[in-house]
Amino acid sequence: METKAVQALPIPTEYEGDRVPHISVVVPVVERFDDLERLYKDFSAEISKVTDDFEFVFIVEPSQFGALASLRRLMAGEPRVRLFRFNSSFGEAAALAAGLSRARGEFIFTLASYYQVRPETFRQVYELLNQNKDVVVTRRYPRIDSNFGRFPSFVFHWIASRLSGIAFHDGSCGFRGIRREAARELTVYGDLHPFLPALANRQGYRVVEINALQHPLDTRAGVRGPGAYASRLLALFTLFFLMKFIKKPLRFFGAVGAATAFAGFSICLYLTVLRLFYGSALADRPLLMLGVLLLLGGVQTVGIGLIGEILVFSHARESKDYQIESIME
Amino acid sequence: MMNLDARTVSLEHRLQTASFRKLSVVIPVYNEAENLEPLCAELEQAVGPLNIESEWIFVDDGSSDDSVARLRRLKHRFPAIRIVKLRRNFGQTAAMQAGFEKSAGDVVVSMDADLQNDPRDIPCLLKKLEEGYDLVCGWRRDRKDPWISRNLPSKMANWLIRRVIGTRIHDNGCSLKAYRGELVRMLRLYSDMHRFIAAVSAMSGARIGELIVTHRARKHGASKYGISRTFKVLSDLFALKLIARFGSKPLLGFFTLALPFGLPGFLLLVFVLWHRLGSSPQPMRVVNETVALLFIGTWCFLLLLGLIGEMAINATRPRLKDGAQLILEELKGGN
Repeated sequence: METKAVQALPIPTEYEGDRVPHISVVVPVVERFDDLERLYKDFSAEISKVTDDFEFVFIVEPSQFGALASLRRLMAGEPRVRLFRFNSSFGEAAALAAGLSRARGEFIFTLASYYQVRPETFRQVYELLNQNKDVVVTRRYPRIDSNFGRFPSFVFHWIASRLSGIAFHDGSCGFRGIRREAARELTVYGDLHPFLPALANRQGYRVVEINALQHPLDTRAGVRGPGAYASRLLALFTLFFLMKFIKKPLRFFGAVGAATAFAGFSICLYLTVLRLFYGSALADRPLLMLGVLLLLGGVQTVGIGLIGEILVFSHARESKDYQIESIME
Repeated sequence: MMNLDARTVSLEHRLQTASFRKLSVVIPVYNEAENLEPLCAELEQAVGPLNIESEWIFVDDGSSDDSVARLRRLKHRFPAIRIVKLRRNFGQTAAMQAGFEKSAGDVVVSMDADLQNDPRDIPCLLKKLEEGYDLVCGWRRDRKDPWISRNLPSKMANWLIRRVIGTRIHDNGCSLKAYRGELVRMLRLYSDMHRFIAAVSAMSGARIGELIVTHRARKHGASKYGISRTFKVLSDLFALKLIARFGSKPLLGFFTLALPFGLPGFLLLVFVLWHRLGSSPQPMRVVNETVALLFIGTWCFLLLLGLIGEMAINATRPRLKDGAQLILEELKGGN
C-alpha cells in the first residue's frame, strides 16, 4: 500500500546498492515550507563538520508542489539529495514514516521543512546518539516567538507526558535524531507523530529530550486553527488507548459499558419496584428514559469492546508484543 | 528432596524420549539473579540424563538487576543457555512468546525462574506428552504460597476458568508446562494470556493433559504478583469465552447477544400498535413506543456490529485455515 503510494524519482547512482551513508536527514514537506535550498545548505554545512557521508531524503506531498522545483534544482548539483513524491496527500505522519523507511543512514535525523531550530542543534543531537541513545528529540527552548497559543500546547504535552510516563514538551518540533534500528521498528501513523518520543519509549528505546535554540525565523509556531486542536485532542485519546488497552479493548469498553449498563439496570429495577408494589405511574417519568438509555448504551459499548477483541485475536499473529534487544547464542 | 527416587529417570523412559529430537526450555526472567545458578544446576541434573539435545532459552524481561550478566557467566559452564534480552519489561506473556518464537525444539517446556518449579518434573512431563498429548500442564496441588493473597484467588480463578471454558485443568497459573513444538508454533500469546494457555490451546483442538508437579517455597527474590487483577481476569475470560464460541462466526454471536433486546422490543411494538390501531383505541403515552424503538435500535446496532466482526475475521481467514491443517497433520502423526 505504502510502497505504491510513494513514487521514486530518479535516485543518484552513487548511492545505489548496499552503500550505507553515515547520516540520513528526512525532510517531510507536508504543511508548508520555507526556502528548502537554504535549509539544506545550513544543515549540510553543519553536518559536514562531522562527516561528508550523508544523504537528505525529501518527501513531498502533492499539495506542496511548489517545493518540487527548488528541490529538483538542488538535486541537480547535489548527489546526496534524494527526492520522493507522494501521489496523494497522506499527512505528516505518513510522510515521516515513508522517509524513515527509505533513509539508509546509521543515524537518521528528521527535519521540518521550515525553520524551527538552529543548525547547531545537530551537533548536540549527534553527540547523544553517539552516546548510545536511541531517540533524541528536541524542544525549542527558550522560545523567541510569541507566547500566544502556548497554553493549549502546554496542557497537551502535560497530559501526554502523564499518560505515556515520559516527559516531553515540544512534540511538533520536527528535529529529531533516531538510530536506524529504532527507525525501522517505530510505527508512526495518523496524527501520532507528535508522540514519537512516547511511542519510542513504549517500544523500549532510550529516549531523551534536549533544549534547542529556536531559529530566529521560526515565528509561526504555536498559532493553530481549532481543527488542529481537535485533531490533537483525538490523538491524545488515541495515545491513551494505545498505551493502556490496545491488546485488551474489552477491559476498557467492558468497564465503561458494564458501569453504564449497571446504572441503567438499577434505575429500571427501582422503577419496576415502584410500579409493581407502589402502583406509581411510569409514563411521566423521564427517569425511565434515562434508565433505558443507559442500559442499552452500556450493552452497545460492551458489544464494541467485543468487536475489538475479535480484531485483536484474529490479527494476533501479525502483531508483536515485544522488542528483542539482543540474542546471545 | 525425599521423592527424588521416584523421579530418577529410568532407562525405559530414556528410550521413550528418543522420539523427541530437541528440547527447548523457555524461562522468562525478571530480576531473578540469585536464582539463576541453582536453576541451571538443577536443569543440568534433570535434563542431562535424558539423552536429548536441549537448549535453555532465558528471556530477560528488562531486569534491572544483573540477571543478564550472571547468565552470560553461566553460559560458559552450561553451553545450552541461550539468552534473549528484551528492550524493556514487556510482561510475562510477551517474554514467554518471545522465547517460544526463538525456540527450535520439537518439544518445548516453559517454567518460572524463581525455583518454585522443580526441573526434575520435566522428564515426567515429557513422558506424559508422549502418551499422546499436545500440551501437559503442571498442577501445583500442594502449593507453597501465602493462602489468602495467592492460593485463594487462584483457586477461585481456576474454578471460574474451568466452568466458563470447560477445560478440566486445575491450575492454569502454573508456568511449568510441556508443549509439542507444533502447538507452540501455532500459539500466539498476547496481553496477559499466559493464564489461558490451556484454554486457547483447547480452542485450537489440542489434546491437553495434566500432571501433579512439586512446588517449592520462594527462597530468593520477591513475588511479582498481587491480588489486584480480578477485573482483568474476568474481562479477559469473558472475551476468550465469546471468541471461543463465536470467534469464527461473530454474526451468530451478536445475533444471540441481540436477541434479549430485539424480542422484547418487537413484542412491545406489537402490543402498542395493537392498542393504537385495534378495534377500540385506548389513550396511551408515547413512552411505550420510545422504549420499543430504543430496544429495536439496539438490536439493529448489535447485528451491524456482528457484520463488522465478520469483516474483521474474513480478512484473516487463511490463518484459521492454517490451524485446521495443522490439526489434521497431528492426527496423522499420532496414529
